[in-house]
Amino acid sequence: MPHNDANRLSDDPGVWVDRYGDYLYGYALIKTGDPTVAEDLVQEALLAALKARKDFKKRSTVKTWLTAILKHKLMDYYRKKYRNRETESVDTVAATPDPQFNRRGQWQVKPGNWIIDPAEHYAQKEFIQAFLKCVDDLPPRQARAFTMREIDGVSTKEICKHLAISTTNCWVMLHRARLALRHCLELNWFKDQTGSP
Amino acid sequence: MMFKWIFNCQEINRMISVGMDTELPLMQRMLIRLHLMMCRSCTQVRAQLISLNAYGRFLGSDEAALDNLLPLAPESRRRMKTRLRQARAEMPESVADI
Repeated sequence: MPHNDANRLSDDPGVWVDRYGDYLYGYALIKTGDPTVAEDLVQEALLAALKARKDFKKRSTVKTWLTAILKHKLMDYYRKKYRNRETESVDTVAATPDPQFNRRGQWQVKPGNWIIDPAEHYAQKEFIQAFLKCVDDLPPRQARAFTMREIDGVSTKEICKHLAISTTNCWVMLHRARLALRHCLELNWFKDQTGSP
Repeated sequence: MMFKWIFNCQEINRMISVGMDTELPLMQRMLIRLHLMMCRSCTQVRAQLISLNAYGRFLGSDEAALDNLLPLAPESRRRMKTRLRQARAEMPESVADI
């Protein structure tokens, strides 16, 4: 792609798919963890962009503009998804014993001897997929809190507002999410490195 | 009072996690440090949680990784292009021609 094309919007929306499809899809997949949902959201975003393409200002790049539209679609998706999720209250999360610990707060199974290594794992497609699968397996609100905090880098305060819970409960959610994710990766990816003495 | 938690891995892990979201009081930071000196498991888990956090930031930031690592399936790409071009063709001339 020539450099000066970055803020030129092609007349053919098929070209948008070729140029920005992979990026937008990866973006949506990381946030949702679901390939079908991610694909639908990208298509919705591009259709919306097509309708609104007169609004595209050359001040931003096409990529930035399309990503902004995709972000709106993601927010809509989350709003719908969490509307009927009152059952998964934070009280339930806090009151449910964490199966990783016994009643005295000791580890049930000794944690494995591993770490996510930038050189080894960051550029590995299978690892991203295993990671996203583990995030997706979390209870929905924990998954959302985790993604917002660790991937989007949103402040805890904003996450609490978004999920309509107190700061303390927010910490509980994040703590549970992190430990559950750690456990999931250990079982599914680092299984050969478990059971250190 | 807080020292009753010194041998409680679950409680220490809760503090470690909260410490990733906000600054902990000195007392709790000391508790964590003391516990980690005695507990290999929690030392390991703390390192794992930190690496998890770094990985999340990497996923949230590195655009090149997204381009290369999670591409659209060829079939999805085709379907999407067809759908978009169809929508484009159905638009009234005045809107479609800019």
